[in-house]
Amino acid sequence: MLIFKRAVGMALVIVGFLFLNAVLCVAMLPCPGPSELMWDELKKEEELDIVYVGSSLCQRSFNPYIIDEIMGTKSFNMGTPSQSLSSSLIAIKAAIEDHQAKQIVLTLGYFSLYDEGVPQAEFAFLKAKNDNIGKTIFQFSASEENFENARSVSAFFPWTISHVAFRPQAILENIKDKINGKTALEDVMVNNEYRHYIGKGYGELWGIIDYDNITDFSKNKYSGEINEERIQELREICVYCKRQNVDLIVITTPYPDFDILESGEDYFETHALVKNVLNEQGVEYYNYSLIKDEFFDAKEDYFFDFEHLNAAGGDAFSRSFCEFIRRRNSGEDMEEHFYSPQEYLSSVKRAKNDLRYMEWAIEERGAL
Amino acid sequence: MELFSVAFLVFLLISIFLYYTVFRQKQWICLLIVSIVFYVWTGYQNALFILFTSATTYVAGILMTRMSDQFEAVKETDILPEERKKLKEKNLKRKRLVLYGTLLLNLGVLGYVKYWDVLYNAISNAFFNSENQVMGILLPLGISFYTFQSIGYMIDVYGGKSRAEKNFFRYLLFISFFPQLIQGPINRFDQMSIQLYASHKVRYQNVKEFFCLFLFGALKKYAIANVLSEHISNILDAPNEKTSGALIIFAILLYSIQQYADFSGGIDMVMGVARLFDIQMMPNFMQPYFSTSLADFWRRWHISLGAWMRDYVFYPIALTKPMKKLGKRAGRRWGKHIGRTLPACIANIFVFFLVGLWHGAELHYILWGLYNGIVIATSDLLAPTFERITLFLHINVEAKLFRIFRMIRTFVVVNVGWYFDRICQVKDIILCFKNTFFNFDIGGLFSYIHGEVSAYAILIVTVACSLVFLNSAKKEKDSSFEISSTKAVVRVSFYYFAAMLILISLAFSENVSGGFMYANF
Repeated sequence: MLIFKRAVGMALVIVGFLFLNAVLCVAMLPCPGPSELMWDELKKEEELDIVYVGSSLCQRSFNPYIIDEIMGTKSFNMGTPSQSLSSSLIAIKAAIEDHQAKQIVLTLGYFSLYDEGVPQAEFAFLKAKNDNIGKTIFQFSASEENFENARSVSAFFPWTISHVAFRPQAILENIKDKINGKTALEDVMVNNEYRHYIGKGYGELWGIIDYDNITDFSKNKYSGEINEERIQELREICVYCKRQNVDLIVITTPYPDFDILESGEDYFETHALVKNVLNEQGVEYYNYSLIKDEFFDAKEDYFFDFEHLNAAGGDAFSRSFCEFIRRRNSGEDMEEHFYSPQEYLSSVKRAKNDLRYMEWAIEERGAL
Repeated sequence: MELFSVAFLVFLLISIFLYYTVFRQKQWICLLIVSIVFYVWTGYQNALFILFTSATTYVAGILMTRMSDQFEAVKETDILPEERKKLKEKNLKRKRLVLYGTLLLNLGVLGYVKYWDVLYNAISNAFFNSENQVMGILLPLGISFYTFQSIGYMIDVYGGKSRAEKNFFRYLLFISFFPQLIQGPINRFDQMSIQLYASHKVRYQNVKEFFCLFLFGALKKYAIANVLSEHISNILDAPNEKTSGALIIFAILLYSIQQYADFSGGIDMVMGVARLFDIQMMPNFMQPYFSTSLADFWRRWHISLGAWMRDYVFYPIALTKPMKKLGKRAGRRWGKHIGRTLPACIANIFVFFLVGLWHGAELHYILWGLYNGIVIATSDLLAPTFERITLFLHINVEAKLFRIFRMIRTFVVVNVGWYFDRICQVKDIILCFKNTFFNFDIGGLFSYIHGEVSAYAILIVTVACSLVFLNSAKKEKDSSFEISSTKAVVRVSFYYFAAMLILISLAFSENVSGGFMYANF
């Protein structure tokens, strides 16, 4: 009898806790966002020629409408905010297996090699893909990255990983949005003053970076050492595409020069490492920040912030990318259109930006 | 593998199931298997180190017990007292040879993996003016703990306190019992062997204790230590001339909280895990911040290390012939009190030097150890003076207010010590002390809190610390108090409250890109 009483007591405690967890999930888990939008939109597509994968850098750079118009292809942008390389692999698999994609363009921001990823982004990505919270919890918790740390426990309480701000008003608004059945498109379009969804996974950013008030750099936002696991994930992507006989190109989208200068030698070391790793796998890698002006002139007003292209930048980049692919496919050696690090550093073409940056650095930091 | 992870919890669940079912008749075998699995999981190279330590100390124990037995057998025969004395000395010499040889081997391994990097760089810096290099020697999990534990066992066998364990695998279990491998405690053979090799049944009380200890430990670790660590690093990792003294004091106070929460939290969790196997490990913390002196603090903080140092280093040094002689000579010259305490003071300074070294070979750890040793030694030597002052001032030493004063005084002394422990460069330690006294600048503290510390962090840490403080205060009043023994309503409320606080702190710590434009995924 005593054992039965204790078992019932324990069961009640657990049930109560599960109920509390469910309530918090409803209140705190955000409404569908960019990840849901991307997966929902992808489902509408059939066969695809080119698929772009990667983080928000990808999302803001490759405009499928422009590319398809010029090249006569069918393409789709699978970029999602803070998409990790392991998530990119999931996206690539879906693109190849479900949509018979013939070419994959992976956008690689160097920060994806440094940090340990953004768990909220990974969770949202998985949740949107699976459309099943139980499966998502299991996949997230059992993933190699999380299984042996506290995140694997957090996964059973999804509101701890992906949540709205811990403010009563934000929570109330979230509940209200859920009751009203707010969709991913509404959230992505309306909820953010900068984002403007166009379609086929592509969204624009409106606005131009204020060069007189530069405070953000890659080095400030993303710091750390190159993580060998990330490099391994990059290799896995190459191996998978090769096995599927799918053409893979890895691109680093253009960054403003001040950001690269701020990163200093680290930037070019990472560049050399990535190039090495990908060349070993027989994959072409191009860094658009180092491309020569005649191919793509990264104008000042092409940037929304220290890393993202804005609408005009995305437009220009997409056009340049078409020409790039055309020449590449015709067998031209594309390497010669890129500066070596030394050539890049000695180039004076972006002196205007650099001077502003230098003035800022001297004023703020006392020295360069 | 973190304790608070699905990997560990699944591992624990399987272990417990096997322990109480399949291996019910031979539970120690189950414990040994899961301990080895746990250890290999953390890296198979680690297993080689623990096997080496276990094998060498096991053989040493067997040899020393055999020598003692041989001598005892001869002693029973009719031999002359002189011959017996000779034999005793010879036997002692042989035993000592085995002990010292094994000590050298094991401390050599520990020294190599733990100190070689620092030593190598110090030598190359001093003599060859070369840059620091990372040698890539990975520290095997728990090597400091199990090396000390096995040394304790050997000394016990050498001194005749314990007989050597004949079965190597049973001995291996004593060394490798997985809950003690992560951060101790340093258990004793006589206390653990009885429990490890006995038969155990599932007890409801153990389950309750597990939940309470595990949740309480996780609460300390995640809702306090992890939330604070970033701020402590921000302030103390690279202080400069402008770093305000008030900010440094704030960071040191946070460090004293973080250090306690992290270490005692981890210990609570492993204690809880051991309870599930019906095993009670040596306690490691006893409300240290309620101590009334630094010596008292060290009897309540990392108790198993303190007890180990007391039994295996302090007494053997303080009771050596030269020390006794020194005591007598000092007594004749400076009085009875000095004569009695001087050998203990010297032994104490040496013990704390070793405690510092045990934490790491870096100079700041050694300074931290010496600081503690010197303060304790000085207070011992000056004890009569302090007594005279209290008498002169008519202070009632039993009064509550005086006890509180002593607690605050000890807290300050301990916190001064944390400067040496937490700040890695000696020049930075000096700079921080200088700024503490000559550049207090309270504004620096306020602007840091205003600009860098989120209200959530303050709220989470304050609530969690209040809970820890209440529990400690209750335990200080009644040492038998355990949350697991409270009424069901209190206990269940605690489970809910602690679990929610842990989850909120995890949610908070994941909110790395909060406020960032792309935080919407």
